[in-house]
Amino acid sequence: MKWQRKDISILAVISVLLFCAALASSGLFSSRLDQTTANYRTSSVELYQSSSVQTYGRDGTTPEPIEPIPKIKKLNTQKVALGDRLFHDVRLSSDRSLSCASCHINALGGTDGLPIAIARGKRMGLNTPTVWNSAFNFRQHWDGRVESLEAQIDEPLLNPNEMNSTWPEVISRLSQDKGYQAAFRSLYADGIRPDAVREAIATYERALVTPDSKFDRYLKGDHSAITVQEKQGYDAFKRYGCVACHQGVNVGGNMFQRLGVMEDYFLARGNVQKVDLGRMNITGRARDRYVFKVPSLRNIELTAPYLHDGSVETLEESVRIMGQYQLGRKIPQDDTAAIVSFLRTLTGPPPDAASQQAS
Amino acid sequence: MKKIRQLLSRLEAPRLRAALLLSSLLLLLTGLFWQTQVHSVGQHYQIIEQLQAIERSHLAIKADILKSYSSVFHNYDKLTADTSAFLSQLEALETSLSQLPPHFTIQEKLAEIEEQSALRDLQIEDFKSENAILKNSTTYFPTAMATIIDQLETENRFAPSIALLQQVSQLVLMYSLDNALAAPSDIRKLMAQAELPPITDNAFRHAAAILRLQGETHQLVSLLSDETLGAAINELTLNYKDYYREVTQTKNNYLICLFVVAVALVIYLGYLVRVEQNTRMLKAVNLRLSDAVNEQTQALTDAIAQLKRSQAQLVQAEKLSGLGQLSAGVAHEINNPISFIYGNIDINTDYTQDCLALISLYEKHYPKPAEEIQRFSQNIALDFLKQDWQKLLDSMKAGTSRVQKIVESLSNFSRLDESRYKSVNLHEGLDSSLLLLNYQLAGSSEGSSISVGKRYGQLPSVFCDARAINQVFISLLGNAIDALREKSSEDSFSPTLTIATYVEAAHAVVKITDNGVGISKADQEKIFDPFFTTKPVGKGTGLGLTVSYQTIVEAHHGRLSVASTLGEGTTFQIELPISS
Repeated sequence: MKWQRKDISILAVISVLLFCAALASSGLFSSRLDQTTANYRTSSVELYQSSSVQTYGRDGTTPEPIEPIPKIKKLNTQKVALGDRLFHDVRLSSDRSLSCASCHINALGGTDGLPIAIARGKRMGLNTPTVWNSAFNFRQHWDGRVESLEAQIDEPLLNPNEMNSTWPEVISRLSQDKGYQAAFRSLYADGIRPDAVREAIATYERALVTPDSKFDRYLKGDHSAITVQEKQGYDAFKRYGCVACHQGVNVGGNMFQRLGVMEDYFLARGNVQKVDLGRMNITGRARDRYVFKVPSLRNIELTAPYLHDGSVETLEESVRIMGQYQLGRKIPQDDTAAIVSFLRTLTGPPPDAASQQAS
Repeated sequence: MKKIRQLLSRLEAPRLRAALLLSSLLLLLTGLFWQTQVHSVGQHYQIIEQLQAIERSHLAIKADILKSYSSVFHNYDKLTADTSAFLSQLEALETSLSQLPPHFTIQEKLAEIEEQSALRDLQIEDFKSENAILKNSTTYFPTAMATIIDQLETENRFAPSIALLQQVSQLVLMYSLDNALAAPSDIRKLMAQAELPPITDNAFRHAAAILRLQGETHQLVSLLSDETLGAAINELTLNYKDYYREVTQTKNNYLICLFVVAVALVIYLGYLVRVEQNTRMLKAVNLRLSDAVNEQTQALTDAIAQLKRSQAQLVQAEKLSGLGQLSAGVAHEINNPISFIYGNIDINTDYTQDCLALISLYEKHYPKPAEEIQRFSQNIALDFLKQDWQKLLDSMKAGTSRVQKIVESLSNFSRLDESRYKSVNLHEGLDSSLLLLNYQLAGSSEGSSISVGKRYGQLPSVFCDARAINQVFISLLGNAIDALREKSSEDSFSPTLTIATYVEAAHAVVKITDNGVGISKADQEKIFDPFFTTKPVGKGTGLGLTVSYQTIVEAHHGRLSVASTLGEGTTFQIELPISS
């Protein structure tokens, strides 16, 4: 039996095909892997990526402990719009009485303006933190029990004292809305799912940032952005050591600190509740008693009352209390005034989700 | 089950075997291929990159802590970002590793790293908090002490305290510079000894903070700088690399197997293709062979048919020539005596007339003949005789004339006296044939008489062998009559034979149609074959139509066709070229 040219060519074709198949599939498999391991989570880290972490002052030599809000990554316009709608949707609460926006009111600087949050007629434990610039916080909540904005959403949503919902209930309610159906279908492969709801709301929250405050403009080199008094306030802020904790992009929000470092705040205040134990409730460590996340001071003039217990009405009083309990310093009246005037320069234009998408 | 078994049994054994072998080879190939895909190079590089990223983040965090501790950094953003990045990278690595087959050492190491990094994160948070306070107190304490000392110096009663305060201040500063330079317990003792005014309380709080936090922060920094986590990460990297080496080894083995199986498959496929080709070639050869055999068989069959036809032709020719000679002879022999008879009948009539006229004259002039004459004339019934004699003669003349016609037909039929091919009036031939068959057409015990319809058109003379053509007419008409007779048992059947002639496309067409029993489709194919007959034994020769076909088609280049419906009748159509 002689081998003909035809046979050889058939063999050649088959082997080439096999080889190609092997190559193609190996390529296919690795690309599939890349997709599956793509990280879904967007943390505050990624929001910083466009700017260097250490921003230098206007003279270019002295590093400033506070940094301007960097240009954020472009967000998906449709997701921001969807998140906006969800953020304001009372169907997220079991009795349709609360939306996220019930306590995070943009007109009140992203808070509720109350000392202690009140939901459905009941006092919650703590002062409502602002949603503005929360994307820059390294943890969420006063006790920092969750890291991402996505994970934070479950807390108020499932809390029996707050929205008192369940995910199946929320999903079934949202699924009855034709507008949501279309919006989710066009943005998420799986349609209306808890993960998609979380991501949409978190994306909207990431748009709630306040760049371009007076102080940010000063940091970026605009000498005339702040007055002499405000500059003196900033110097005092650094000199007294406020800046030891309130530093970074968010002027806070990147570390924990005990309330009552130099003197016992709670002894003075009295009526210690479980929520006052702060981070100890999470870690169980005695050293974390009264430890809270250092809050951001951005837009601080809009978010009164202050402290985790909402016990302080004014910035001046806050500065005094911080001086006494945290710094072990008595801050004179003129310095307090200067510091307060500096704090007011941290107020940015109210976040406009729509314009943030474009920036 | 049964059906499947039937189906299987229907498959050819070699094909089934080949299909089974092929599919098992393919299955093996797929399995092996899958094995080689278990841990792709892409996955490997991704994991290596993730491990490197984790190590980089780990080192970055350590550097960040030292920089924060030594006040190079003025905020914790980078430390926070790196800590967060480390966690994301660890999470990504876990996801990547979870896609691999579980490996105990790696899982264990991963768990250790997670535990270590959770511990480290707590330490980092403690460090950040404590470092902030420590920095503030360390900065503020000397100023605070200096201010207090200045205030106290104005009053002499505090002089001993001032020395103590200065000592405390110095020791705290030394301690804050290097915690080996002073013992916190000693300083605390000194601070407790002093009886001081309340204005020192605040400064002493800061001193206490420094004494507490300096050591703690320092310890945290050294804990965070130690290599436990780094070592764990390195070990994980090494474990993973070992694991990958193992996997690669296994994969290589699988690859070799894959290659071997692929080669086997290819060779087997090639073999199958060869076998298939050979089979096809054999089939082609077989086909050619059987074609040749068929051709030869056909040729033989044709030859035999030809032979049969020739034989039939010969027989027919012999018969025809015998019949022709006989009929010619008979015709010739009868022709002469009939001519005398026919010719003399007129003379005989004349003589008879004369005789009868003479008798009439006798009767006139001798009205009373002798008795004997009278008796005789009564006996012979002379009056009747006179009348009948003429009739008799007329009848004889008619009969003779008919005999003459028959003879004429016979000679016309055989045409022995004529050259074989000449211009012939086909109508004459048809008429002669009908005449010869006259007695069969007439009604008899076999059936009622057959009505013959002649629809002759305008036909030119056709150049042909009249004797042969006439034979064809006789055959076809004879068959038609037989077909009609076969059907005549039916009631209310009027047997009809129609002969139509016309010219069409330079051909003289003769259509002989009967409404007899008809011919079945199967028989129509065979009626021109030699020795095919449907008639009872002894009645038909099976040659009539064969010879007719030969005569018309082969000898005269015409056409002979048949159209028939069983039970309704048959039409034979003869077409003869006119021009030739």
